[in-house]
Amino acid sequence: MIRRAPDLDDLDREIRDHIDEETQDNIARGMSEQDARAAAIRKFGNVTRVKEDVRGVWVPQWLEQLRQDARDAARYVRRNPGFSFAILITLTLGIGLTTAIYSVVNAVLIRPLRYEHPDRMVWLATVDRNNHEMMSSIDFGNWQSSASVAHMIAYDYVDSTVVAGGEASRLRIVQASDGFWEVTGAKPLLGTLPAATNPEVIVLTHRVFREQFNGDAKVIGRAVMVDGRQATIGAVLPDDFEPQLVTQQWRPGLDRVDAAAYRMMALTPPPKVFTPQTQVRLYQAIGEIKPGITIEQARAEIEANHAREQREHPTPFGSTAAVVVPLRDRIVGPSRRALAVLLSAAIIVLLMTCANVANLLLSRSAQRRKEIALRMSIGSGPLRVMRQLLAESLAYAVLGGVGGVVLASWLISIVVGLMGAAVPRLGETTLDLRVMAVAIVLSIGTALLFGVGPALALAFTRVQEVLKEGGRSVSASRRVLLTGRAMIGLQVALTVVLLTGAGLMAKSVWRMTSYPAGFAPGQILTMRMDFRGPQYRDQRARHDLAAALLARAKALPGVRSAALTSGGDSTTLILKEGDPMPPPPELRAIREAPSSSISADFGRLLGMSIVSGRWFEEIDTPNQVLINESLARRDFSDVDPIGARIRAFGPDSYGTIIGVVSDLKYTEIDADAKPEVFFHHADTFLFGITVIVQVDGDPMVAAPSIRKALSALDPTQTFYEVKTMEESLLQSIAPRRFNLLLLGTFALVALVLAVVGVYGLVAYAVAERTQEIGIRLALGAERARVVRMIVAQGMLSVVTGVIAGLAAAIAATRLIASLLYGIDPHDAATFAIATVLLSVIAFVACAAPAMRAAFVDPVIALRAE
Amino acid sequence: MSTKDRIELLQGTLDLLILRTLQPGPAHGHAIAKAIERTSADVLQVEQGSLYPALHRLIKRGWIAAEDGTSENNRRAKFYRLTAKGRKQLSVETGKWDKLAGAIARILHSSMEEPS
Repeated sequence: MIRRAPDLDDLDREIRDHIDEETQDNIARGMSEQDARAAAIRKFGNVTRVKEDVRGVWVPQWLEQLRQDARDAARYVRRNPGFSFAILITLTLGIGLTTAIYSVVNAVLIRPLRYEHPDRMVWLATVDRNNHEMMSSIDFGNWQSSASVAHMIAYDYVDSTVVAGGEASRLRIVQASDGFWEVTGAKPLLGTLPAATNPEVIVLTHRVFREQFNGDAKVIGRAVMVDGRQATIGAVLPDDFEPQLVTQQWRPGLDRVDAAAYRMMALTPPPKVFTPQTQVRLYQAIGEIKPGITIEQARAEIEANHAREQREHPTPFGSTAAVVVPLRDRIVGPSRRALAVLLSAAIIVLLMTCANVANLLLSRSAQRRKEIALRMSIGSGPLRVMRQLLAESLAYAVLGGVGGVVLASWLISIVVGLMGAAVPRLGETTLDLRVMAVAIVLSIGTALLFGVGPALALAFTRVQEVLKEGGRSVSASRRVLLTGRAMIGLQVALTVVLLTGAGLMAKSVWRMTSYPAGFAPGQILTMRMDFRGPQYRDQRARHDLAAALLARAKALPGVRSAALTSGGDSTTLILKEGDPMPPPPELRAIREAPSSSISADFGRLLGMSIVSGRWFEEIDTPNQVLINESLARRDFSDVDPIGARIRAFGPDSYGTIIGVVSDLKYTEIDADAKPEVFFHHADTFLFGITVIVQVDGDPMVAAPSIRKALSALDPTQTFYEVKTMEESLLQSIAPRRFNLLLLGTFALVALVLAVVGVYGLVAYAVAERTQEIGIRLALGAERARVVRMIVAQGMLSVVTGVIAGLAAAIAATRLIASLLYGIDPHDAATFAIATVLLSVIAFVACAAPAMRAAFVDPVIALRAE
Repeated sequence: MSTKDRIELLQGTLDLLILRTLQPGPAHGHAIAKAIERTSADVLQVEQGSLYPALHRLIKRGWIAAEDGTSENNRRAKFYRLTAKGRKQLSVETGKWDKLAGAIARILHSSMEEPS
């Protein structure tokens, strides 16, 4: 039978009353008041022990002792604020950062795909000799008969204008072929999933269901218009339905399809004979391999199949090779190296954390040798002392662990907030508890090993000897100092590596975002519009709307200049008049250039200059072309491009080059300028149009009114991706900024840890030598000399570490060369800055305790022991 | 009889004395101590403090219960009273004690023969 402990608070009152009454009785017996009280107290016995015994009746002894230890430990933590701060900041940063980064890496690299059989999922594509990835309906059709693949799914996505209840919104709809529901394991939350023969049924994601349809279950069966066509809502998917879908490489800045809705797609059957009229569609494709078959086997089968098809039925796409890779590799491939670098950095920081904790505790225990020996000798017993040291170490580990958890969750929310959209799967990051456990166990282990270990060693040496040393435990402290110096050297070296790496990345990003004079992407607003609906089947309607949009945009108040561009996502084969058509393998890439259709002011608005010839006029002679300098250099090195005619606008039509414009990187800033060709927007087919305007003041403030004014021209069309050009550019380098952010954080943390380490070591050395310093000062040594001596000793480890670190950095930065842009991995300035920064800060960390030591009163220093 | 058992016996003895003291009615801590001393004619001099751990031990076993009340000099005090279970325990313990005391007394007062 378990009884609840009674309230022990009134025990004090009870004992007081007891003694009072006894005192009264004694007075009644004739004692003086003073004697009466003394006798009463004597008769009662040890009050503290009585209270402890009473408590002991209810609370098991071990629990009581634990409470005691915890209280002692808490007191120790509070009474040593400097030491506690150093060790807690070390643990918090180490545990927090490592966990946060590992959680990110785990979400992006390791966590399984959201598919029914993630390990059997493969990415299917073909690549040409220039590594252009694609999947044509022809190849897909041919591959579908592969025996090793259970499901082969083609998909595609369209940003559609969906009109529901009179309101138009833009939804990204993924259309997928038969088998998609099976491989993703989709289970509808509401309604039923449509069969492959039902492409007019739309399946909503939970997000859209929630946000745009107010979570109303009555949406099932509702009629909507999708790009001007009738459709119905057939089902709603659960919140966790998020199969990772890859986009094609040729859509920069878009690594992930964030689907708003799904629908089924009918496949275009492969043609028996290829004619110029044959319809070819481009898909993305994934497959689920049959159980028991390896990816290698599937690849071998598809490759053989593909090679045979290519021989027997050549297509105008030239020869391509089949790609069958694990889907996971395809999704994370581009960020793999960056993540490996970050993971190494995390391990470095964790190592530094452990080294720092070990260092701090070792110096501490060396200082406490005497205290511990004394306690053991007055009968505390080695177990009791050990338990207390254990409690102290655990207190630090627990506090540091809590700090680490808080820091980690905070870091994850920041990283996801900043970069969630830019890095595939990053948004799925959650705090990884296993890693946090590993980090905490490692830290606790270090804390215990180095917090209790030295005391354990002490317990086996003779206590008296330690006491006789009189605190000048030369041999022990020298050992600690040597270990400490080695660890500081190591930490400094690792910090140099991280600092140079982060420095190089920072400089790369800085290089990318130092825009040429005249190009002010922050002042330029862009918004995209596609021509949706049957009224725009006619190209003339598109051109009319484009012209109207341009005229309206130019007339708006506050708009300095406006222009149009088709967006530059098409490519044109550059073929001079009279040159023969190159054979198929050479059709692509080497003779191609990205092309866009622009309005007259496009180049001037962006800040391009004319190198030779002239700009377009708004109303100009048809069939004229502008090229940029890179293209002129590549294809017109021997002739004057002005007046030359190149194939454009169709198989047998030619355009005349009227001008050469300067190179400008306005879509991609982490690559060299590409050859480009520009057509007049009135001359070409328009698929979609980007309106760009330059405004006075903040473009994003002006954006809503501009958008509204332009939408008024045709309310059935929607403008999307409304942002400044700078925002698009920054988004295109988001993965790089992401790496920089993380590595930069690591470098900073490493710097903090190294400083804490250096400071801790020097402070310890100073404390150990307080007496010696006192003697030196008393004998007339100059204070400056004392400071110099201490700083010199500290800096010796720092300089050794810096040299080792530079050597390691030279080797390590070569590994991150692919993550850099426009900068030599051995950039001298970066190395110099990292070295100077670290040395200066380390110097301050050495000088602070040295100064304090030098200005100590020699008398007090001598008395200290 | 080992040393450990003797301590147990002493502890048990105090418990028994407390139970016996509470038999006529509830009492507060000091009154119990005084009663034990007075009725044993000051032969048993317990350290008064050790009464309290013993009281709590008895509460834990369910033999006595504590309740708030007012002492003779009008102070709020904690009164301890015997529970039904404690009353039963008292008679069991008293019986045991009588047997033990009787046995020991018989041994001590008999004319012991040398063991052969």
